[in-house]
Formats: sequence, structure tokens, C-alpha cells
Amino acid sequence: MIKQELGQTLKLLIVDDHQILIDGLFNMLDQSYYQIVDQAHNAGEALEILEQKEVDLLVCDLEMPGMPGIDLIRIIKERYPHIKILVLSMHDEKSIVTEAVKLGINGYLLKNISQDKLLQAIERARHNKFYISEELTDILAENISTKSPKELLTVRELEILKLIVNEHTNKEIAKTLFISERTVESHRKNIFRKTNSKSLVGLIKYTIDNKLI
Amino acid sequence: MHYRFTLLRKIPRYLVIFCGFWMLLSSFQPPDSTRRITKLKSLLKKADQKTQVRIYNRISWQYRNSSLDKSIEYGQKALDLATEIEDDTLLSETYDYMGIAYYLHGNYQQSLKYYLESLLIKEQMQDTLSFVLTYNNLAILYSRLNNYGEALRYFRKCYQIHESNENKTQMGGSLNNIGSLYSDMDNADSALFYHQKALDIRLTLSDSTDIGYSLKNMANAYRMKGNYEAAFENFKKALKYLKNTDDQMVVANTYYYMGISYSEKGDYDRALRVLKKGLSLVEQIEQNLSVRNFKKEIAAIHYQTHDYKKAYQELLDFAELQDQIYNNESIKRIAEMRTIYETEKKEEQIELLAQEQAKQEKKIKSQTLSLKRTQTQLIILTLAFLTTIITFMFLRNRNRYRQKELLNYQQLRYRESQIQSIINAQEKERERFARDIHDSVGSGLSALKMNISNLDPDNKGIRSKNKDIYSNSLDILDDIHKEIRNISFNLKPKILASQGLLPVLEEMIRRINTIGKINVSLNVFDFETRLPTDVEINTYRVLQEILNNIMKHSNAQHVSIQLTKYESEINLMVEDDGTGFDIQDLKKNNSYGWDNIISRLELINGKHEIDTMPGRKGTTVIIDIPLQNDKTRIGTNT
Repeated sequence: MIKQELGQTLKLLIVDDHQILIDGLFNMLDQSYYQIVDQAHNAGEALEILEQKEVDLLVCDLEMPGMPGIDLIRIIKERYPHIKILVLSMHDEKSIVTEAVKLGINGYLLKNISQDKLLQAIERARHNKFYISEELTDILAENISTKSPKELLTVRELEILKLIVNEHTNKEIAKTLFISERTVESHRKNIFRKTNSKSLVGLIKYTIDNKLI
Repeated sequence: MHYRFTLLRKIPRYLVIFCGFWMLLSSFQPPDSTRRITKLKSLLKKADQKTQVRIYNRISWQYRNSSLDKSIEYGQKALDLATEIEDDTLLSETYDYMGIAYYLHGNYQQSLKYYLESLLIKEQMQDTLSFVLTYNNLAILYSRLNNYGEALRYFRKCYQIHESNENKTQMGGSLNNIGSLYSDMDNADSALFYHQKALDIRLTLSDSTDIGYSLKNMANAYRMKGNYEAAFENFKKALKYLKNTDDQMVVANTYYYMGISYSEKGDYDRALRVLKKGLSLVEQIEQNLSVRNFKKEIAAIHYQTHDYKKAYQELLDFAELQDQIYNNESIKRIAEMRTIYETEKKEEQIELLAQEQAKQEKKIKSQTLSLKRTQTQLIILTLAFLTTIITFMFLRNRNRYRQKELLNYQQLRYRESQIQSIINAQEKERERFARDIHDSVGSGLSALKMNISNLDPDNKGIRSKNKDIYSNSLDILDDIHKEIRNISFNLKPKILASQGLLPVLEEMIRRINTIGKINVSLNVFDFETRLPTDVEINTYRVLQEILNNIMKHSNAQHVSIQLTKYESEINLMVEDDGTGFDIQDLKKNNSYGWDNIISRLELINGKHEIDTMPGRKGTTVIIDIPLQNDKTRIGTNT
């Protein structure tokens, strides 16, 4: 058990449609340090409680009946910007995690979280820091930047592009690459589309401009 | 019987007229008329103009019974020539001839006109004597028209002229005519009076034929009065006087009335004997009209004497003659009709024009009628045509409908098979998930339970052992949690509906790559916007299935997935570096995975192509999916 740093009692609101998870959280948190002011089973209940009670931290599920957790987070971020938010979800999909993170939450936790990780996340949130489950750190690391011309085309496409520019016919390319002419034709079509070329001349120009050969 | 007698009494009137009016030129047509005409014609060339007029008149006269046209034609020639040479006598004489010709053909109006023309000329000529002929003819004409008063007036004029000229022969003739007229008027007493006066004059002249005439006429007058004794006495006297006469007709006539008298008296034997004598006479001179009358009378007597066979025979003869006469009459009537046509030429022409007009109208009518008929036919044809068309169309539509039904049925069957393969694929998926849950989650939980049971509740055992179990259990729990997330994702990725195809593909690839057995790369172009839901779901499922197949069978190290969006389609290309295979095997093996791919592509009208060869490294699957939503798709949200 990690020894908690002394400080002001943190007021928590737990929002989850599964009572068993709420109960689990209750067991994991020392009530002397973390005052769980209330619990809600959906977004509507949560918003009602927020109007009546003062809350410092919101532990929230994303998948709930009625309003999705992500929308609840949006509302709370707008109405109560001071409330810290921790997402506790089953979902480890990159897009879901990314979406939530973009809203300015203080942590994204998978539900298989252990007590020490939970407390760690809460404490980081209290100090307005960010926490994310270990499994998800790779996701955020992936760069979602625009692709370079070379990345725009696949390896096979670059191969074919070279042959096209060297004035090889589909038949010749097919023979060279051990693929069918139809496949070459599809690749050719996709290459023209991706390079926004209308003609072979245009394609050659693109190839030279981007130093693809 | 009474009617028959009345009829018989009427017939003698003709005989009286033709035989009794002696002044009238003989109406008998000589049998050698044609020969005479030829002879007359041959005389024409040598004759002077006056003689020519007379010859024309003679020829006209010869034609009077056979051909009115010819008669009129020659009469006209005579008329023209007489007018040319300005011979009034000949002109009036010609008018007289033509008047008689028209009279004989029943054209009384024309006859009257010519008689009056003749009379006009004669009045100018102051030739009173020549009036007689015309007066006489006019009288006969009027009597024919039943205008007895006028007829009598003209006959009396004749008599007055003859009396003033003291021409006893003609006086007798005129008196005879007046008597005959009274006979026609059924005035027997007056008839008897005039015939008696005529006889008185004629007895002084000793012309036995004329005397015979008068006696016969007196006898008939007596018969009419019912004085048969006087009648027979006079008949016998008449026959005596007529013994040597050339005029066989008057003799026959005497026998005829004698026979009727006997018949009326009931003395049929004598009547028959007398009538047969008369008959033989008229048969000799070929007077069919008279023969007929005799036959009829004889037949009547045979009937009275109950000799029906003879009566029948006579009646047959009578009928035959009747037919002959009727035919002659018909010819005459036709000629008369022509005459009427000639004389009323202008009227006829007008009438003709009217008729023409009527014809035109009729023609128009008939044309209209035929047009109507044509229209009707056209309507019928059109209706028939339409009926055919409708029937044809109906049959064709029915055929089409059947074909459509068949097609629908086939499509339905096909969809059924599609749905069936989807269901099968789903079953296969469930099977896989059940196995996954059983294998990973189930075994994980079993291991967890074992771990927990190995824990020492009293914490008495080796502290390190408990610690190992504790940490191992947490690992197992993490594995179970991860597996459940994977199963949940594979069952129904939440982000597919909420965020679309690209995030879910990225997620899927990330999960596959996390396993580390195979490296999958995704290359997308122009996928900023969402696609139709069914395209997203089915593309995802197809790709999922293709990747499953690659991982299961190909031993590939790398997989490249490309999604390229075009204006109206998306191109999906999956390339792997695994071992190639025989497409036929794929189809033959009837794998649920492949069926699932085909069915899902059908739902979104996707076309696929597999570039692979057994033993060759590398397989490319190319799929084109149209983006038009014009075709109905069976939506599926699995």
C-alpha cells in the first residue's frame, strides 16, 4: 500500500453503469483521503449531482447507457473546467483513447488497473498532471503526421512506378514482378490516383520532383 | 261468270273500233310488210320530191306496228321534205300519218298534237273535205281516251261534211262510226238507231261489205239489248252479204258475236260451231288478238258443257297467244317509252340531269356508305389489331412477369444463399469466439482459481511463494482482460460505428501487429470522410476475413493493405508475401471464410480479383467497391 501524501481531502464522483466496479473502487480508496461524494450510473445522474455537490475529481466510464461518457466529459469540461477527469474504460482502441485525451482529461485508465496505479493516477490528476495506462503509451507515441511522398506509395508501388517511368508495359511489369497484368493495372491506376497524375508525363515529373528514383 | 262476260264485251270494242271505223286505214299489218318496205325504198331514188314524201309516208305506215322509231323516222323525213317543198297538202297528210302512228303506239298526246297540226294546215287551205280524215282520226282518238262527247262531235262534223257534199258512202261510214261509238258507250238504242240509218243509206249503194258491216253491228246492238231473235236474223243477213267480201275480219267478227250470242242464250253447240268458223278465219289471216278472243270464248263454252279437257286445251292455246301478244305489246310498250322519251326530250334531259344528280348523290351516298363501311372496316381492323397487340402485350407482359418472377425467385434464392452463407460465417465466427473465450478466458480463470487456492490464507507458508502466486495471478488477470477486449472488439468494434472504417482498420492492424507474428501495413488515400455504413462494415469484415486467411494459411511475413478512394469507388488491395495457392481449391474447399467474403462483397456490389499461383511467392487480392447507392443492398450490421 502506497502511503498517501497528506493534503486536502479530495472529493470524488464515480460514474459507471456497473455497480461492481464502483464497489471495487470504494474498496481501493481510503476514505480518509478520498471522499467519494456520490456515485452515478449514467451521464444524466452525474450532471444532476454536479449541480448539487462540489466535486474535485470525476472518475468516468466511456461506455454507458444514454449519453456516452465522451459527451459527458465535453459538458463537464465546459461547465466545470476545474474538475479533474479520469477515464476508466474497457476500450483500448487508439481512436477512442486519442479522442478522450484530446478533450483534456487527466488520465486514461484501463479497467484492469491495480490499486497502486489508480492512486498514482489520482494523485497525478490532483496536481493537474497526466496519467495513462502502460498498455496505451505506444498508441500516443505513434505519430499521426501527414505522410511523405515516399510513404504515400507502398514498396510495391514504388517498384512499379520505376518500371512505368522506364516505359515498361503492363505485360512486362507483370512478368518482372510475377504478378498478373490486372494487378499491375490496378497498381498503375492507384499510383496515378495517389500522385494526382493525369498522364505518364505528369507521373514522370512527379517522380523526378520527389526524387523517387 | 258475270265478270268474264263483261270482259268479253269489252274486247269487241276494239274490234268495233278497228273493224268498224272504216275510215281509219287498216290496222292490220300485212305479212309482206318487210317486202313492201324494201320495194318502197327502191322506188325512192327515181321518184320526185312529192312522190318521195308519199313514199316516206308509206314506209312510215308500214313500220307503224313493228317499229315506232322507224315509223317516226320516215314520218320525220316526209315532214322535212314536205316542209322543204312547201306542199301543205302533203304536210298535213304526213301529220295525219304520224298522228295515227303515235295513236297506235298509245302516245295519244303526241297523236293529238299532229292531228291538230294537220287540221291547222287544212283550215288554212280551206280544204274542208280533207278535214274529214283528221276529224275522224280525232274522234277515234277521243273515244280511245273515253272522251265520248268530243269523239261524237268530231264524228258528227265528218257526217255534216259528207252530208253537205252528198257523199252517201261517207255518210254511211260516218253514221256507222257514230253507231259504234254509242255501242262503246253501252247505249244500244242509239247504236241501233245510227246503224239503221247507215244501213238505210248503204242499202241504196249496194256495197255488200258495207251492208254486212251495218247488219252485223245492228245484230250486236240487238244482242246488247237481249233481243237475240233480231240479233240472229241480222247476223244471218250480214253473213249473206259478206259471203263474197275480201274483208275476212268482218266475217270473223260476225261469227264471234254470233257465237257469244248463242253462248249467252245457252245454245253451246251452235255457239261452238260458229266460233270455230270464225276462228279458222282469223287463224288464216293471223290475227292473234282475235284468235285469242275466240279461244277464250270457246274454252268458256267447253267449261259450260263440262268438257274440261277441251276447255283446258283451249285455255292453253289462249295462254300461249296471250304470251305472244303480251310480248308484242311489250315491244310496243318499249317503243312507246322511247317515244315518250323523244317527245319529252327536254323534260327527259332535265330529268336525266336530275337523275345524274341523283346518281351523283347516290354515288356520294354510296361513297359515303363505302367510306363508312371502310371506316367500319378500319375500326374493326384497328380493333382487331389492337386486340392482337393487347393480347400480344398481355402475353409478353405475362411472359415478362413470369421471367421477372423467375428472376426474382432466382435473386431471392441467391440472396437466401447469401444470407445463409453470412449466417454460416457468423456461426463460424461465434464458434471461433466461443473457442477463444473457452481457450483464453476460461483457461485463464482456471489458472487464476488454482493460484488463489494455492495461496496460504494464514500467510504461514513461504512468503515468497505467496508473492509469486500473487504476481502470476495479476498477470493472468491482465491476459484475460486483454483477451476479452480483443473478443469484444472482434465481435463488434465500437469504433466502427462511431468513428468509421479507417480507425477500426488501424485498430485491427495494431492488434495483429501487437501479436508480432506478422507485420501488416496500411496505406490509405483520400479517406478523410466516412463511407456508407454498409460499405464500411462489409469492407471491414472482408478485410478481417482476408487477414485471417493470410495468417492461417500463407506463412506470410508482411501484408500490405491499400485503400484508395476514387470518385465513385474504392479500391482495396491486399498484398502478402506468403505462398500462393490454387483459387480452385479456395472455391472447392467451400471454406466459410471465403463464402463470407463473397457474400459480403455481393451485398455491396464489390468485385474481387485474386492474383495468385500455387507455389509462387506473393498473392494479391484486389477489390473494387462502387460508392453509388443506386442498388438495393441488404443491410447487415454484423
